[in-house]
This record gives sequence, structure tokens and C-alpha cells, in this order.
Amino acid sequence: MSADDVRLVKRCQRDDPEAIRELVERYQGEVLGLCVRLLGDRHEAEDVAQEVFVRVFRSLHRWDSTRPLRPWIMTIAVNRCRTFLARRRKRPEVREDLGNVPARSGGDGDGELLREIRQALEEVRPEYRIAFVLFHEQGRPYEFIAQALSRPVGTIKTWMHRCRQAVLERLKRRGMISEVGHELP
Amino acid sequence: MNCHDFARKLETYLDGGSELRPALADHAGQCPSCREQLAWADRLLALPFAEPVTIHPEWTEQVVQAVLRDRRLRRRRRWAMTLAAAACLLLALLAQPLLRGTGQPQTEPGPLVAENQPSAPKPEPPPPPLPDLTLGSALRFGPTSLEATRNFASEAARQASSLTAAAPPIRPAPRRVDPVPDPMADLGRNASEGLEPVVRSTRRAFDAWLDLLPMPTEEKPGL
Repeated sequence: MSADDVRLVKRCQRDDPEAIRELVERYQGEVLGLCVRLLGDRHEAEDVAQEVFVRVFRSLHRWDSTRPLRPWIMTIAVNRCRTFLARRRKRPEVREDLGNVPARSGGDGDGELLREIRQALEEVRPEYRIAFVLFHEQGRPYEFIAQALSRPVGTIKTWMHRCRQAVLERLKRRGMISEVGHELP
Repeated sequence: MNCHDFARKLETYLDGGSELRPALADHAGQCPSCREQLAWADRLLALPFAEPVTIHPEWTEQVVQAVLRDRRLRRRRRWAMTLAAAACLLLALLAQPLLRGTGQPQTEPGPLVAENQPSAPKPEPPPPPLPDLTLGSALRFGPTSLEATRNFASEAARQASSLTAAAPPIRPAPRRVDPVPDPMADLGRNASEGLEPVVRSTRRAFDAWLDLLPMPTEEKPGL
């Protein structure tokens, strides 16, 4: 927990516009980054990230100041994205390829692999996708993901395993990696 | 390590167990299939996912404005809810005297034994006029009604206390009270008794008149 965060939150609760701006600027990169990774669409991600901040400020009085602020905000972001993904899943629509997600500027192989992985993530359950993105792309520990998704760590590990298998299957089908004799356990 | 162990440990490696890498590499050196899997895992772990997204200042400003707008809206809604609750409470207080019907005529208290006496049916009193329950009338007449009610109540309390002090002690009512005779109950019998001499005289005069009449002669039918 950062004392600076506590002071900033108290100023926000007094409706200090500068404090609100400061808090948004402090966490907007992570929140928007997570939304872009999870939703795969920049415009949708911006909308959801804005909603995340509105909800963060709406429930700021419920934040336990003895605990760090960052995971609390990220949990709200994960939950908003999960709700959005679930809603989007109910109304299937033709979506463009994830071309607007910034690809790696590295080698072509990496960029292509990234695109394939993200395409594969589009086809798995939203929970699997969130777990994958939080773990591999955001570097969050299993405990954080379990807390954010309100599931036991064991369940998250199972989801991760299934998600990796789904990604691997797609990569094999697409010829990105050669057919292997064994599958992941 | 066999291939089954390799697959199990590869999962742990992907979960962050980097210390398993040498052992995995040892087995992968002997098994081409496992080598492919390790290569895939390495690529996955090395992928630069976390590339920062560019954030436009307009978007930040948009978010800040959305937050401020939401806070203003919620504050206004809280005020509106408080005002509505206060208005409801005030309206209930103001409408209370009107709903109790302060404009109804005062009725005299009946005798204490009235409930034991059979009484004639009383005519239905006219319905009291409906009070004007609009907010305007409540606000207009509310203070006056409250003041009048308060004066009436204090005056009634004063009179009650003086009457209580002056009145003789109330004796307990007799256990049984004789019912008051109903004047209409014997009306028919009294009327018939009063008219009986007249009826008798009339009947006698009729009989005398019948006696004065000539008796008709009987005619014998011819053979």
C-alpha cells in the first residue's frame, strides 16, 4: 500500500478534479492496456476502460486503504472486461481481425505468432482468455488472477492449461509449429 | 525423465518454474517431439505481449470529464432523494389534520346507557365533504389547521380538567336497566279497543234496519 495512493484517494473523495486526473493518469496505461489485450479492439477497450474508471471513483469509498490500490483497480478492470466479453459472446457478430491491436515490432515470426495466439484466444472461453492474458501478457501471479476472477488458484491453473492446449492446437492446425508427438499434460 | 514427466514439468515451467529449464532441455535433447514442445514453450514465454499502448491526451480528458459528470449526477440524485423523502414527510405531517376531518360537525355525546336501549333507526347523516388533499391546499391551510387543532386540543384539555374537578364522582351504572316501553308497540291494540263501541253500535243499527224490511213471499211453482 502506498501512502501516496491513500492521500490521492482522500483528495479524490473530496472531489478534487486535479486528484481525479492524477489518479486516472497514474493507472490509465495499465487499465487500458489490459482492456485492449482482453477485448482485442481499441475502441471497445477505450469505452470499457472509461467505464472502469467511473466505477473505480464510484466505489472508492469501499476501497480498503490497508491494501494496495493497484490490484483493486485491476480487479475492477478484469471484471468489467469479463462482463463485456460475456455480453459480446451472447451476440455473435462478424468482427475484423485483430489488426488494430499493436503487434510486436520485432521479427515477423513473433508478430505472426502473436496474431495467431490472439486469434486462438478469441475462440476460447472468456475466462480462459482473461487468465491467459493476465498471466502471460500482464505477468500477474495466479493468486491475483484467482482473486480477480473469484475462483480458486487450482481452477485458474486448469483454465490456463486448457487455454494453452487450445492455442497449441490452433498453431498446429495453422502450421505455425510442427506436429508434436505428445500433448501438454 | 520420460515424456510423461516432461509434459507435466513443462506445464510448471510455463507457470514460472524457470529452474526446470535445464532438466527439460536434457530430455528434449533426446526426444524430438519434446524438443518441439520446449521450443513452443520458450517462444510463448519470450513473446513480448506487454507492449504499452499509446494513450491520447484527449482520451484522458474524456475519462476525467466522465468521472466528474458521474459524480455530479450521483450527488444530484442523492440530493433529489433526500428532498423527496423530506417532502413526503412534510406532506404526511401537513395532511394529517386534513385526513382526520377537522371540518366535520361536532356531535353531542349520547347518554351513557344509550347502547342498552333499543332505539329507532336514525337517519343517515350526510357524508362529510371530502377534504382537499392537494399539495397547494395542504401548504395553504396546513399551518392554520395545525394552529386551530393545537388551540382546540389545549382548550378541550382545560375544560376536561375543570369538569372532572367539578363533577360528582361517577357512580357505577346499575347492572340491569329496564328497557323504556316502545310507544308504537301497542298502537294497534289501543286503536282496536277504542273503536270497539262504535263498531258494536253500528252492527246493532244495521240489524234493526234489516228487521224493518218486508219479508219476500215465496211463489209455488206451477204443476
